[in-house]
Amino acid sequence: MNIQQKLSILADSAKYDAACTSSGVTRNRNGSGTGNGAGSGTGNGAGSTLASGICHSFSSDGRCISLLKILMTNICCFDCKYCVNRSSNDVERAFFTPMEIAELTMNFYRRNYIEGLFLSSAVLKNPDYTMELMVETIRMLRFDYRFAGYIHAKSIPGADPGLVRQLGELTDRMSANIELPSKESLAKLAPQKNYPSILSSMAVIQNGIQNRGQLPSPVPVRSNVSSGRSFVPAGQSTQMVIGATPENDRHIMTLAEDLYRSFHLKRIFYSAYIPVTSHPDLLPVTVPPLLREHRLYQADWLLRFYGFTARELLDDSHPDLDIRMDPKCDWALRHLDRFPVEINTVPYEVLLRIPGIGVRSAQKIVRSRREGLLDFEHLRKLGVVMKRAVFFITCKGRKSPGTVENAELLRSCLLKESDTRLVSLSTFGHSQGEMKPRQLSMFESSPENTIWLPGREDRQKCLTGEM
Amino acid sequence: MPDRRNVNPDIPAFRILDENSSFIYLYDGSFEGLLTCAARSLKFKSPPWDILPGNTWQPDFFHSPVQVAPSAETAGRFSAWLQRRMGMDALVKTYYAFISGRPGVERMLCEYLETGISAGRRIDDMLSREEVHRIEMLAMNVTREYHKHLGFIRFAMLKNRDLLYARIKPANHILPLLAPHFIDRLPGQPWIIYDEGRMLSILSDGYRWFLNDQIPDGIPILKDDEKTWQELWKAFYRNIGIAERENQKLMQSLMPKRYWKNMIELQM
Ligand code: SF4
Repeated sequence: MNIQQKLSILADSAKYDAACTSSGVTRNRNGSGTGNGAGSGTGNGAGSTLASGICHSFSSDGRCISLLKILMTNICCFDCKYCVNRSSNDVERAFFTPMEIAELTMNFYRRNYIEGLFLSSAVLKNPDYTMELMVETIRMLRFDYRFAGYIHAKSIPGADPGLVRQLGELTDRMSANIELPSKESLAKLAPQKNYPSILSSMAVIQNGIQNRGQLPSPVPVRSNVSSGRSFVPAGQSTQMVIGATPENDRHIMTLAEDLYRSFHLKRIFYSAYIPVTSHPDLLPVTVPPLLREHRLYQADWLLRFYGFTARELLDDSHPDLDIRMDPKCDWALRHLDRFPVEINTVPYEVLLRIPGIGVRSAQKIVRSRREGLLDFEHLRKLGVVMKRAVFFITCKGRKSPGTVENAELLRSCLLKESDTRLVSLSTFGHSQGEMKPRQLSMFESSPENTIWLPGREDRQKCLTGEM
Repeated sequence: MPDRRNVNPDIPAFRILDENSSFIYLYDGSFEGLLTCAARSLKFKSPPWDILPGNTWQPDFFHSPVQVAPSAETAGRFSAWLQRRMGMDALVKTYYAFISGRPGVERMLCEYLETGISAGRRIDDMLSREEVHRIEMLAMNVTREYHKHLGFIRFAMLKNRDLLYARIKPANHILPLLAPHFIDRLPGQPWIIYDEGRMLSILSDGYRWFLNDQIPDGIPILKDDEKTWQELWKAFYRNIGIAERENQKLMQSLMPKRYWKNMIELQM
């Protein structure tokens, strides 16, 4: 098999990982592990990583391509029922040697096709063996090829914590995929994987991040490239498949909230289940629930950047996101008693809760209103989506003429405004059956009230932009 | 339109242009040149009617032209002063808006600077004012195009000294913005980026760079294995898209067709 065939197979198998994988870290010039190949004397190590992710291309499905996203191999001894590469499935198998991966990465990087590598793998022989090969590959790239660009590696479930640490020493980002939204679903569909071991990998990574620089590095000869390289400087992320199993949105968002809080994840990726295989334990999905995925990303944003909690967005009487409109509009319609609010006086936190006002426009409003009272016309200039916002605001004490007060009428106005193009996407696999949201016992929570700002990386997955 | 002269009543209004003036400044089209004109107008308190690039100026009966030669020293001092006065962000926006090359950008910039000089750092917050908003928009447009190019540029390796070569056709003059990024990215690697529209190229030895307006002669000859890497990249691109999620419209809105010509994965 030649390298082109291998690449076709192993890129094809990797594509279902939703992580859009832009770099979220700056480390060039004076940072550690620099593009100047610290210690290499001639200073010709390749690589810089820009703070905001760079998209080098967009795939036919509109996703950002910034990394060479491949599996090291798709030869797998596990049998996860939702996966094309499961051992019981008859597909063509391939395997990359460390050197082949290093050559591909370097040559693609140099030509500006990619920003770096996203290496994942099926389980070859056993988790430790696979992880050792991955470590070997990335070590070769870092030390022999002096590659200082971005590397995201997936931790193999069930691998030894020592190997997880080693990989973390060499990469910019790691992810341990939670795979499915509940322990029960995972046990059913991926019998060789289990929640505790995935969560413990996450904890190992989280631990490494917290103790950056305090522990002696297990990786020898590292002064060669990147003395003082930080432990996964771009943080960790995870992914779960949605729509293959019966968990409702409330369960998923509560889990997401716990994960963000416990492991300080940079991102959670939600991946609408794409039926690559059928099985009695899988929900009979024929079309990927893309719109539901989209709403989950929007709700995820509301948690991270808009100061919402999962409990506010979803509760017993309202266990699923309304797929017809964005979750903020939906929330606002259920809390009409809090509106309208006066644009010129309400605090930032309240601005963020107004439909049609995003993080950026909220910031602009706060800044501009110091220079004089704002009017509807000004808001439009600041990027507020007036079609939505007008119903919920006053400017200098006045409502915009022609707004509706009646709740039902308002809902239908907003529904009409909500993107009808999106509604045409089918949405199967919505909640069927009840599952109680529960705390995962090993999460210790650390309350965080900071409101974070979305970076370019975040924007790439939330393509409709401001809510 | 709001009165843009008295932004800050405590500070006398600064005027770079004056509607009643009987002359105009002609400059060489460089940013330095424009700053020199603006600095001079402020210094001598005799504002021209407008500042225009010498090569596009059409004589009229009402304004007599005054040629202003660019002065690196004046421009340098003036920009340092501007930076102290209105902050780095506003100065960067000034430069970005300038390289948009929009006709009439000189007038827009002068109005922006007039406000900036009296308002100081607050100018970044004055988005509801027309002259500020206009420049913010132009600068944002340039930033976007620049950022897109960081990803969309495709180098090919040439036979000659493993030189990397890329062609682009940006709407704005972004070449000078691109250079530092690629030097950081590939230290020690020589490369050329050629702007087809402006017929300008930027050359780097991997450490320093300069702009070059010589039209390169001859067709660049690719290195022997270059085609192999291009084919591998195309294979990767074909396989990474998910058919069930196919969304050409979205893809094209993120990567407009005007860029495709120089991106090998989009050549069938
Ligand atoms: S471990 Fe499971 S999900 Fe991963 S490749 Fe193997 S079968 Fe697929």
